[in-house]
Amino acid sequence: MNAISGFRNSDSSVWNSREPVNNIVAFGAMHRIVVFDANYKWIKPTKDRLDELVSKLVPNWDGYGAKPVNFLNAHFAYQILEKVCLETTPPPSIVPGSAGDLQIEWHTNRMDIELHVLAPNKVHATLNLMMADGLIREEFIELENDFTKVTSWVKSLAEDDLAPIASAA
Amino acid sequence: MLPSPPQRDEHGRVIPHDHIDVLSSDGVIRRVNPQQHVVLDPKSETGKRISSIWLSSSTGVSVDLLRPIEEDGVDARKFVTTPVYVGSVKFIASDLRTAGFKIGFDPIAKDDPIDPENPYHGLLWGRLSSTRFKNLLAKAEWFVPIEGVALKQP
Repeated sequence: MNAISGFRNSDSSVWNSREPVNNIVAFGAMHRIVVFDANYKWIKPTKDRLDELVSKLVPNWDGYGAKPVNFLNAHFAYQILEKVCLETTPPPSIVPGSAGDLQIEWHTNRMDIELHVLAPNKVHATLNLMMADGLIREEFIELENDFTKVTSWVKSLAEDDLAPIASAA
Repeated sequence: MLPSPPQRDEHGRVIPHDHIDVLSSDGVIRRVNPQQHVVLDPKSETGKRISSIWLSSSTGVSVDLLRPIEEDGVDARKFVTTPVYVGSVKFIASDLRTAGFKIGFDPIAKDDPIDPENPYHGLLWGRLSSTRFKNLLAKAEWFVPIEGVALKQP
C-alpha cells in the first residue's frame, strides 16, 4: 500500500497516464513521484486575496484606524481552507475585520457559511440554511482546531449549487 | 454638545458602557469601505451586500455619533468620507440597543499615536446573530450610498 494519500496504484491506466491523480503524477514504474501544487480553483484567488489583506491593505483602511490583517490569522485561515475545501469548492469571499481578524464567506441561493477567524484556533462559524419550508436554520459554533462540522457544510455547497431553491418553487 | 468623557482603563482604553448622552433617537453612522466590506451574494437584490464582519469586533465596532457632529455645524457626510472615500450607513440608537449593542463614546484625540483624530468617535459592544444583523439592516438606511450594493439583507 502506498503511503501517499490519494495515490491510485491499483489503476494501471491512471498510473501510466502521467495525468495528475490527486495532485500526484507517477512516471513509469514508480521511478519518480512529482507532487504538484494543487490545481483546485479556490487556491489561487484565495492566496492572492490573503496576500493583499496582509501586505497591501493600508492602515486606516476603514476610516477608523483599522489595521491590515494579521499574518498569523491569514495563515490559520489558509490552513482551515486546506482542510475543509474540495477540488470543486468555489473561492470564498474573504473580508478583513478592523482588528487584524478576517472572515471567510460563501453565499449561495440557499446557504450562507461564515468563518470569522479572530485569532489562530479561535474561530466563530455560522451556517444559515434555507429549509424546504422556506424557514432559515441558523447554526453557530465556536471552534479551535476541529473543523469537521465545517467540512460537511462546505461539502454541501456543491450540492446546493445543483439543488432547486425551495422558496422559489 | 459632546457626550461626557468616558471612563478608561489603565491602558487608556474606554471601558464598555452604554452612554446616557447618546439618546434613543440619535443617529449613529458606520462607514463602509466598498473595496473591503462588500461580498457577492446571489440572494441579494443587486448580487452584492455588506459582510456581517462589518458589524463585528471583539474590541468594539467603531462608529460616528451624528448629533454632536451636526451640533458643531460640521458637514456630517463630508466628515465621514474624509480622508478615505467610503460609503456609510445610518442607524438609530434605539435600534442598535434593541439588537443588543451598548453604544459608547470614545473620542480620539489629535495626538493619538495610533488612531486618526475623531472627536465624535463611538464604539458598539455586542455580538449579533445573522438574524439580528439582517433585522438591524432592515431598519437602517444609507447615509452615503454605494452604487450597486444592497443594504437590506436577503
